[in-house]
Amino acid sequence: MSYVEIAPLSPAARRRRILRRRFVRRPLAVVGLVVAIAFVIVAIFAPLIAPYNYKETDFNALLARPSSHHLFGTDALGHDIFSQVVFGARASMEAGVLATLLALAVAVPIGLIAGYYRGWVDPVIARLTDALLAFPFLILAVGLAAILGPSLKNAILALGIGAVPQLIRIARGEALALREEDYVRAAVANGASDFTILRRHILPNMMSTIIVQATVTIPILIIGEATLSFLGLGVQPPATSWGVQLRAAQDYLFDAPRLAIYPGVAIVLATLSFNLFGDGLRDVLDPRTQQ
Amino acid sequence: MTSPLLDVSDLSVRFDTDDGSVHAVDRLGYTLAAGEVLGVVGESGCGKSVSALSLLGLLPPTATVTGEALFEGANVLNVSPRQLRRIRGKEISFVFQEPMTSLNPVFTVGKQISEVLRKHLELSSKQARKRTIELLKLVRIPAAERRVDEYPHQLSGGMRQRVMIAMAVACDPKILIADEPTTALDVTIQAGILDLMRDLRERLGTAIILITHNLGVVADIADRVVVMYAGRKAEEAPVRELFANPQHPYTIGLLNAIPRLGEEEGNGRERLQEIPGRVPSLSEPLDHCAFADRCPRADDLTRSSVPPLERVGTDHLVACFHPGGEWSR
Repeated sequence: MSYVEIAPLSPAARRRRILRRRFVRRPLAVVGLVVAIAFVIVAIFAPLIAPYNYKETDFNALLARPSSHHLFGTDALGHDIFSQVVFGARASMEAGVLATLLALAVAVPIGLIAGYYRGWVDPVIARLTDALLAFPFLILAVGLAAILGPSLKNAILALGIGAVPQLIRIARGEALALREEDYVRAAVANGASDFTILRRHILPNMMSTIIVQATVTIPILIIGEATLSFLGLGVQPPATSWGVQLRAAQDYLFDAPRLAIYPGVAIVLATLSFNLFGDGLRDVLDPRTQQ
Repeated sequence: MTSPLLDVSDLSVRFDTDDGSVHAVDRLGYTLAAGEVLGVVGESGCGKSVSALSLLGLLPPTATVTGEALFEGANVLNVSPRQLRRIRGKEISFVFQEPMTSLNPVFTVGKQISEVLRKHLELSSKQARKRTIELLKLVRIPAAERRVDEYPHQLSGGMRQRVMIAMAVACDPKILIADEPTTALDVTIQAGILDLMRDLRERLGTAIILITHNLGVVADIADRVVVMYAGRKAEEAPVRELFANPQHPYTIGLLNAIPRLGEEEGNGRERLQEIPGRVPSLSEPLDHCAFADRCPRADDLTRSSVPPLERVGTDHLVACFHPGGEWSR
């Protein structure tokens, strides 16, 4: 192998390069990233990729086996399953990503305030989160979705709120640890205000943990959306999602198991890819796992 | 005598913990003149860092600080948080012991210095950057134009301490408090940092409070020395006087504990003398001399009452019932 003289890089670029190299050495993480991106692309360009509209019915081919016309076959109403799975990615990605962003937007500031200021705020917030954490995540989300009423928007809201307590706990823990750092003390000694310290010192230093946590929250919320839709609390037919498809497939489990298998495999692949990517990211960003 | 830049009197710090309270600093007083270097010496746990941190309100909320510290006519122990933030880093700044961890790992050193400049002096980012490079040159960092864009992990410990010092003197403070600034560094690097601090004092006229457990460091740079023991002042004297004529047995013990090379007496391999025992726990205010348990001169008087600070010479104070200078050297 020969080395070519390269132009000096800025430190930030060099750091990015090191991280990238470390990431690339993890084949599973790379596969995870590629597949996750593929799902996002499929979700965005669903109308271009799907051969049929997901609402379109073909009454000449009910419960048809896979063929050149219908790649994955059709369901009892003649919907093209391949197109349904492709469109189903939309609801899943929207739910996974938007609900995670929503949860972060709520949880990170609350966690920061609790962990940084401590005082009476911290125990109040900590106990409230503990109380919310006592509910299993899905029960909480199902309850909220039931109260809000069934729709994709409300499912995202319910899932986002359901994910908040866990994220508060992580943000709070990070803030609690980071506020004791010497550079925070040095910043205080140099006259920095609380806001400056939170924005410039604590938040940036917890970003890698938060990003990793976000990538592992996405698949949980993807499954959450599928569950809510399966239970009839999320996406409502004729709109579709993988959960909706699984629900419809229930009645034909023995006659046409592929109705359940295709969306099921899609859910597994989507969540697995985000998890693999998140694990790899954690390994790369966490200095303790550096070899 | 003109009025001093900083006049600390009756400074006490108490920590309230679940296991009772700890009297970390007990009625400490000292003054600091403009441009002066004051050495504060003592073993770990004798209250030297705590007393300095208390000046800028940097102690945790479990600490109760009483007393007075007049800086430019105002008691800094008693100003609003807003005013305190304006004093911190601008009028009085701090250099900590841990250069390896005192810089934020996610920003370049230049950004971190600029931040202080922009906050206190309201410079534009361009001006701040220019001034930052000047500061890095002032603290003798080679290739400052390049280093300004580097991250802390790319610098050595000595370099990082230079950056911390640059940050501390960025706004031309009147007082620089250096808390064991060289303890975490190699000996050869230590000399460079001390040299730099002496240079800064001369060029910028900054008064320095140098906290250390190392009398060698004090001998090198300080004008005056306060020896602290168990939260109190044991002895105070100009540096020459202290080394020539130490009065408190604790000071004498510290002086005997400095390793020396090439001693003529004996075969040059005399055993280094230690002070037996350890600093007493300060869970309650002592009603006797705090050093009594470790002192070769202790007697009933020492064990029953607290020795007052007494003047034994011009500018030489000592808190001991049996002061005197039979220093073994």
